[in-house]
Amino acid sequence: MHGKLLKFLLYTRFSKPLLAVTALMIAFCCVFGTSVMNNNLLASAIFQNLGVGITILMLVSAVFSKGLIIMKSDRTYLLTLPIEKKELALNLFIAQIVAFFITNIFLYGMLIPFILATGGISYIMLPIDLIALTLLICSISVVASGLSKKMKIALGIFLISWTSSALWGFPFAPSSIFTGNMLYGSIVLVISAILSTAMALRELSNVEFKTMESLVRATSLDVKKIRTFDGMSPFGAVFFLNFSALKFSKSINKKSTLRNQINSIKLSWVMVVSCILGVVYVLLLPQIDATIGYMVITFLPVVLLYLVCFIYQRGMTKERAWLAFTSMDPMRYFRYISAAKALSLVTLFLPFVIANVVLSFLGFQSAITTIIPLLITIPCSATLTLYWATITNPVQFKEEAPTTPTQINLKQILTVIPFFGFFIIVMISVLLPIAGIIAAAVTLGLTLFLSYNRYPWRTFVEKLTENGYV
Amino acid sequence: MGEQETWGIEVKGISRKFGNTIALKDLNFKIPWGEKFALLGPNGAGKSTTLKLLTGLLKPNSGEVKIGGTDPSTEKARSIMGYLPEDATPYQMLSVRENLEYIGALRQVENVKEATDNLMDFFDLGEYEKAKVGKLSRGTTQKLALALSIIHKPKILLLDEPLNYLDIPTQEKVITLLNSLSITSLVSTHIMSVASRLTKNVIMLSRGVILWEGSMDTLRKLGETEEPIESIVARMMTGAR
Ligand SMILES: Nc1ncnc2c1ncn2[C@@H]1O[C@H](COP(=O)(O)OP(=O)(O)O)[C@@H](O)[C@H]1O
Ligand SMILES: [Mg+2]
Repeated sequence: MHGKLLKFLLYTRFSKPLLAVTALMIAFCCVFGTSVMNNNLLASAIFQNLGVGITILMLVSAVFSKGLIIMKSDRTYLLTLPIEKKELALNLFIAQIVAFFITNIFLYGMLIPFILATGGISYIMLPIDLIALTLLICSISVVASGLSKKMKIALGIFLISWTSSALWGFPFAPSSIFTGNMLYGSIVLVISAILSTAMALRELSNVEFKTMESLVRATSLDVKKIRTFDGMSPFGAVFFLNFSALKFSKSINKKSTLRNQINSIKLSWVMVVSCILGVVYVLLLPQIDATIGYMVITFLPVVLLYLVCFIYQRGMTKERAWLAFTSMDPMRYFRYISAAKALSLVTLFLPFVIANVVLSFLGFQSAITTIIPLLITIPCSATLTLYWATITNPVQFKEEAPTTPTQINLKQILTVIPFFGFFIIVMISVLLPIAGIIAAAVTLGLTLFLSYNRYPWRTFVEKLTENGYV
Repeated sequence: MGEQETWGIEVKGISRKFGNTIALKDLNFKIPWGEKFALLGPNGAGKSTTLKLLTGLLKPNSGEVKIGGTDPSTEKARSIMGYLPEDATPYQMLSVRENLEYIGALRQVENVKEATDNLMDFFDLGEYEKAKVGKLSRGTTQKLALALSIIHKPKILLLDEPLNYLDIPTQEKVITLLNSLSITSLVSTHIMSVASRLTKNVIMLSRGVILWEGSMDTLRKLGETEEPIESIVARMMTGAR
């Protein structure tokens, strides 16, 4: 019974080709990372910081996540089956560990060559550390799900300070493995993983006394704040729904001008984070070594591009053909969506653009060359990735999927591969201003060409319908 | 009256294959403005494929489709056409009201809020106003989908098995509503009783070809006295196999 349930859970969550793609991803990261490293050893400083940063992010989101992830189909089929709750919870936990292990490979992948470069025990410890990190993240999310809000905040603050202490050379933190303290870091990481996993398992074995729902990510049944599209133009409605940098709230009663209707504009949390990071960036950069500073400035656009890659490839999968494309020309609809998304990116990058302008006045000349990539090349590359993924892989997600990249199948991931070309383009753009201008012009031109060309979108709709999605 | 004004829906010799499966073979029919037709046929007959071709979401391998005299993928055809697919799923991450208002705005409906209020009222969707569609029951989802397909008051309505998942009182309500609208419609169904309550005209489809076309009354007369209409249809369809 035990084996069967786990097999079912794994099959419903992972496609076999995903493992192949994971291997491919590791290979790419190793090649990319190694080439970066060979060109400039100082680059590893950035990747150390990146490693600590990702760890903080993962741990904090684990604290505030609500435990085990289940899919909607689990809720309707699995949770209603007469399976012992304890067993179900345990197997869900194992499935989640596998999911996060794969996620972690994608997140930490680029750091692998930098860790291995430290030599010695790093070859043995790397896989162990990755597993321990995964266990730590998953078990913390289970343990924290039972805590009160105050306790969660306390735990979050503790984890942030402990993890970030590695940045100042503290060796006894789980994140020290990224800052050159492989031995101590690994020991601390493995011990804390074992402890937290034991706590999580104890929590899960008590699950019968709780309701299953409290351990399962509570997705709310209602939208928090209802948005109204009353009186909006088609462009307004699409933009309003897809522009994620700002949140508009609109009065229901007032009509007339648009300005009257929008009563408040709030920054979305990503925008707040972006602003804070922009400030931190401009304050910290002059403090560090000038050569490292140069590397940080140069690699910032690449890192940002890396982040939007995973968000953007599934951007269109929630669209509904029978609603959108019978209401509007598909080309026009996609143009509106991509305009909203590209402008969101421009807005999200704005703090960094301003920061780089400030830095260029402070004497960091290279900062100014990142502006065109940030404002044009990256948003256009992201749009092109989105277009490419959409056109080459016409699918539709029927349910509101939890956001682990593990549910994406082989084809969906392969469609992202041309995106890696954009990495190189953005890199060169930052290093060579002339190439940067050409790259911006080419990506912008290509984006506009696809935005105003009916043919690929007609074909897309046809393929989507042929594949059985409407 | 010109050709364009006479026919709401025109299907001229369309064929459509999926790989090796021939879903539709040289289909021809015309529906005059203001007439209601049922597309009747067993599972796999090609009803859903016909409707998808009519909306322009799918293109025929050969032949031509006209909606109100123009190609279905023109702006004009889109604006007068309403479509409900089989097993329709609205936007999962939006609430019931948001779905209606969003599509209302895309379709440039005159007073979106009022139209939304009326539809939510009619389909008893008020209590789900803020509920995310992903969490609704299948029946409630179907009610919302129906509402979405008529929010812009289409002149031509294409419905694929519209009464699926609905409870009996809602089915009655929808039948009454559809009968009260003076529009051109083509409703696909595999259930004879549904067809006979919604329309006077029948296009019977089996294995991608039109088996029989005519009025419901004629269909009745084809049988022996007292023979239920279902059995006449069943006889015709088995005859075709
Ligand atoms: N997207 C598709 N891909 C492959 N075959 C399809 C597709 N849609 C329909 N078919 C095939 O075409 C035939 C007609 O299907 P359909 O139009 O859905 O029939 P109905 O709606 O009358 O049940 C069936 O044999 C079906 O298997
Ligand atoms: Mg069908």
